[in-house]
Amino acid sequence: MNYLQNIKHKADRANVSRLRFWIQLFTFLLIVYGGYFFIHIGSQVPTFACPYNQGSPGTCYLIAMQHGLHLTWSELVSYRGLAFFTGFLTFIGFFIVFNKAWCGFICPLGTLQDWITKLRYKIGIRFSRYDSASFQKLKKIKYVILVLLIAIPLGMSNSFFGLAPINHDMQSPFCQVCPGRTILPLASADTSQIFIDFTNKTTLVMSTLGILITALFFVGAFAKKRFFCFFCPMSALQFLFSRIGILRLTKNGSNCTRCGNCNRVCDVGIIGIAEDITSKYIVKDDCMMCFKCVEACPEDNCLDVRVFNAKIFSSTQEGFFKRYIQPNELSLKNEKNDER
Amino acid sequence: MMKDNQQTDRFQRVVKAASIHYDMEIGKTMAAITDDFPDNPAAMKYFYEKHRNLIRNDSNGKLPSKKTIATLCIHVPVELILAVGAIPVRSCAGAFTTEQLGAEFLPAKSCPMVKSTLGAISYNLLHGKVQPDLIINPATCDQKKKLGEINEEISEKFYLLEMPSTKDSEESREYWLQTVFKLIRKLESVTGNKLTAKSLKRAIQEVAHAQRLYRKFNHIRTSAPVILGKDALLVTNAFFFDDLESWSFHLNLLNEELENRMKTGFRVVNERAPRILLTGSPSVFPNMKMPLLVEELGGFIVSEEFCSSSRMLWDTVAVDEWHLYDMIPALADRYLKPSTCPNFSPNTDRIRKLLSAIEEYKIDGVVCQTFTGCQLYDMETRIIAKAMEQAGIQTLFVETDYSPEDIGQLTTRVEAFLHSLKHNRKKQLI
Amino acid sequence: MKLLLRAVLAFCILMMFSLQTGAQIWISNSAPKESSSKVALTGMHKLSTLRGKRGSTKVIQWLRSGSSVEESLFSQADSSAVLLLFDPQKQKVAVETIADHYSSAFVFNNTDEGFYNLFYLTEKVHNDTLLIACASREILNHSCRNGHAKELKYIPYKTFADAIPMQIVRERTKADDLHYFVTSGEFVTFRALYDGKPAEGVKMTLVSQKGWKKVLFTDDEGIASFEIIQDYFTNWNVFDVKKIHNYLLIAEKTFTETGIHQQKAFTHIKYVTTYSEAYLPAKTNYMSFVWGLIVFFITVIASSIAVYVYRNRRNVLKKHNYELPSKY
Repeated sequence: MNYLQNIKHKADRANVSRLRFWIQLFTFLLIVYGGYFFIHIGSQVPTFACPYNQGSPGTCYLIAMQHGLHLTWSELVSYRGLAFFTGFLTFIGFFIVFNKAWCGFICPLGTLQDWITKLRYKIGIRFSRYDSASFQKLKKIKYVILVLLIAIPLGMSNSFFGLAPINHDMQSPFCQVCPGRTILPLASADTSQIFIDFTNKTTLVMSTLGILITALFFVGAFAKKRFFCFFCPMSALQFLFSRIGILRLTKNGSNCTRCGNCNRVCDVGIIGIAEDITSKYIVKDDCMMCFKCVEACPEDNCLDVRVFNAKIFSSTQEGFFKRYIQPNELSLKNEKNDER
Repeated sequence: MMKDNQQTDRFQRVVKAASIHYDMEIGKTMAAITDDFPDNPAAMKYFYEKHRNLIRNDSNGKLPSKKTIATLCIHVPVELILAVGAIPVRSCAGAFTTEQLGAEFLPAKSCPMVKSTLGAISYNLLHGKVQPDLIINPATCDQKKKLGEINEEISEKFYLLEMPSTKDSEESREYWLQTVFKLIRKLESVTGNKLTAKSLKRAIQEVAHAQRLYRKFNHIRTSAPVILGKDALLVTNAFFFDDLESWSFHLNLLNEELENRMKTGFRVVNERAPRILLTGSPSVFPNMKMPLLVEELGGFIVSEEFCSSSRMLWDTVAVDEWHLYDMIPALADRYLKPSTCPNFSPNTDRIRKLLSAIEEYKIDGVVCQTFTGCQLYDMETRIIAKAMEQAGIQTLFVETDYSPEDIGQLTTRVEAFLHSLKHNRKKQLI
Repeated sequence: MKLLLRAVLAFCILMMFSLQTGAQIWISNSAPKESSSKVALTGMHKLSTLRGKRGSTKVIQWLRSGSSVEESLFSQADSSAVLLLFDPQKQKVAVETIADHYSSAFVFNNTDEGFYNLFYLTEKVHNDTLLIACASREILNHSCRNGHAKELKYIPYKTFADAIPMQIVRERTKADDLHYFVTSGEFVTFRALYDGKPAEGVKMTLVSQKGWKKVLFTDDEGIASFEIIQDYFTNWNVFDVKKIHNYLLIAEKTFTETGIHQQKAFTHIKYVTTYSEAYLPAKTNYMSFVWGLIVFFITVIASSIAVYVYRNRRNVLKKHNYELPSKY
């Protein structure tokens, strides 16, 4: 037990952000090039493992879901519906292992945005934040996109309210506008996704929208940390099941001073993490479980990362100061203190 | 104008007489702190000396080339002052002598600290007799707010740091951020130095280093009875005027000594001493009336929720990107968001902080002091009383001031309170 | 030995073709494999050139026989044939013939800007027919390096009724300037001229690079219009937007007329004129990618400016005219 406590003590002092950088690099290579090494992880991956990219080792569940829902009502209650349902369960099975850390540690688009952020930080250009009113309004967009990407495939096979079924050119509507489709194939030197499809009005609009969003992805990520994640329907879909995740982020409100350190370092700019002192499960819908808030929290055991209910990484005063004080910045006489 | 006045005979005579009185007051308090208690830690000697020489001119060893900037509240970001190469001196005064000097300018029912501070500033009786180049006065409570207008001889040195009256809304954060930006500009013009990312980062890190040591100190004194509250208060009080580097150095020495005491199981109070949490209007040296009284009568002050100690040093700055665009807002947030100053409404964080401290430090009773005329703390006593009642914590509410007149009456009340705490404890044990 | 074998083989195939279809002679810009290392494709019209002394260059064109652009054999010029070259000012200029064992090439200096017209004429009686074959080619000489003295507008075709009995000309379009290339998917209009006048009912056969054929007969204005089909398909990543393909046009017309040519009597005269020109792949092959990039960069630039302006206006520091560090 003492041994375990020692490990925990070490873990609390660890620099998780640095560790996350290396994990992200590894998972980026895995998700973008894994297919070339005969890795296959199925078609229910809860992150942007884009099949348009030849090196992808699997398929993003959003595309599988859009295809899977291209069913008539009668098909939905038949074996095909069952196939969709089992696929969905597989997705949840994948998801709950890492919970929303899929976003913070694995998602290649997220990693890309983090790298763009690093570049901006190097140059020294300030970042933007939403004010809380815009934050509350804009965060709903991802749910709208999620509803659309479920409703449109169903609307292609069925008639809603007596309207004619939706044009088949709207197949996989989200993929048509997803920046992952245009950007990730570039990693395999495939530029063929950057095009405008002049086939008809629908494809013209959707492909132009796709290119627009790709361009905004880069500009946005440069101006604001994790710009795209705020609108990501995968994030919305994941959040619906976040409560049953094995990996958890919990908060002990009575230890919180509401100093706002967690909100300040939050890449997505979640205000609730600092203001909410009642919820135990503090994962909000934009959270990507990067655990920067835990690193920045200077109160003992206020924020905890847990596997089931066991704490694996907690906020501590000691850890906070170890991470935030850079001894080479100080010219103090008693430098030996920092060693301890 | 000020200089003209300072030349006058009357002014010189008042300063001379007040200095002697002030020094006597200090001597009396120091004697109570050092002589009435055995087992004072050896490393405290530095802090005792610092306070003994509080108004002696050469005590601080400051470089004359640096500008001195006085602050009147914890809401002034000291990191900014350090970053523009000036020396911050917190000038809230606790002397009865200067209170009497200040009474000349202020209504009779004013807060003693405000009177004392104004008296000290008006008659050059600040810590180390420094003559500040700028006095930053945050507009917190109503009495402090008006401080700069009263004595026109010194008002040109005053800089009013605007404060929002709530800390929860986004507008107040925005407003406060802009005030901080304005302050930076003022500091730059006074010192002639530009604020740079490098200097600010260094200042933040140095203060954080001091905070790290303070938190360690706090951890030690709350987990084992190895140092008395009156000593702990002197340590934090020295932060007002001491050089940051040497303060950190000596606090570290003290920490080492206290850790040794912990290892050997050394105690400064016996097991039955009730564990007390002090809160309310801040005790500033040499006004150590309440803490000394509690500990002389056998209580043990484990922690204080004062703006002269924990509130000043506890909360930290967290920066994501070490450029000014992130450091300044982070700094602004640190001096607004976690503050439990009663000038903010609502101030539920103070109750939460007290309750969490009571639980964590195993507090037996709370002593809540209010200065006569300190309206905001007075108003909050009702809220605290309600919360403490719900939590089942015995609380003593005391209204006092800087004068030594009420000692007798206070002694009786504190004695009775401590007795009842001990009694309750016995009951719990049975 | 090897060369001899090849020559024999070439001769056999030549005979076969000439027996079956009456092989067409035409002038080609592409070099045989053996010579391809010696020639360079220069200028924006990728003319085959020989590098002469002191950096001077000469255009070189080959005589070929057959009705396929890729498979036609390189053939030798007949000694009785007439070779004519006119410069852009319609002046007759010298042309040199280089012959080796099995092929002939025509070499000339292209000093002037504009179209050079090269004709190779043969006459012979075969069975009862006098065959008058003319291989023709318009060779556009233009290099942007020499500047654009002439206005960039189309240069009309030239007729040579005195020298050539039946001539094929390509109708110019409005876009037809010095930089113009026909691309796949476009219509190319040809006019057959007999004695300088439009000839009706001439059988026109267009053969594309890959061997696709189309036959049309000219109308009463001597016009036949062909759509150049796309026959260049490749992966996007090796797609060559300047891939040069050639088409071959064969015009045939037989008249009933008796006479004697070189002591041989004939009852019919058959005119066969060939014409060859290059074409490029259609822009539509890659325009959707180009548009994709255009939209991408316009959005990047526009949104960057928008973000910059918006942030500048909302800058808390500028709003109050603070002189603060530049990093804001």
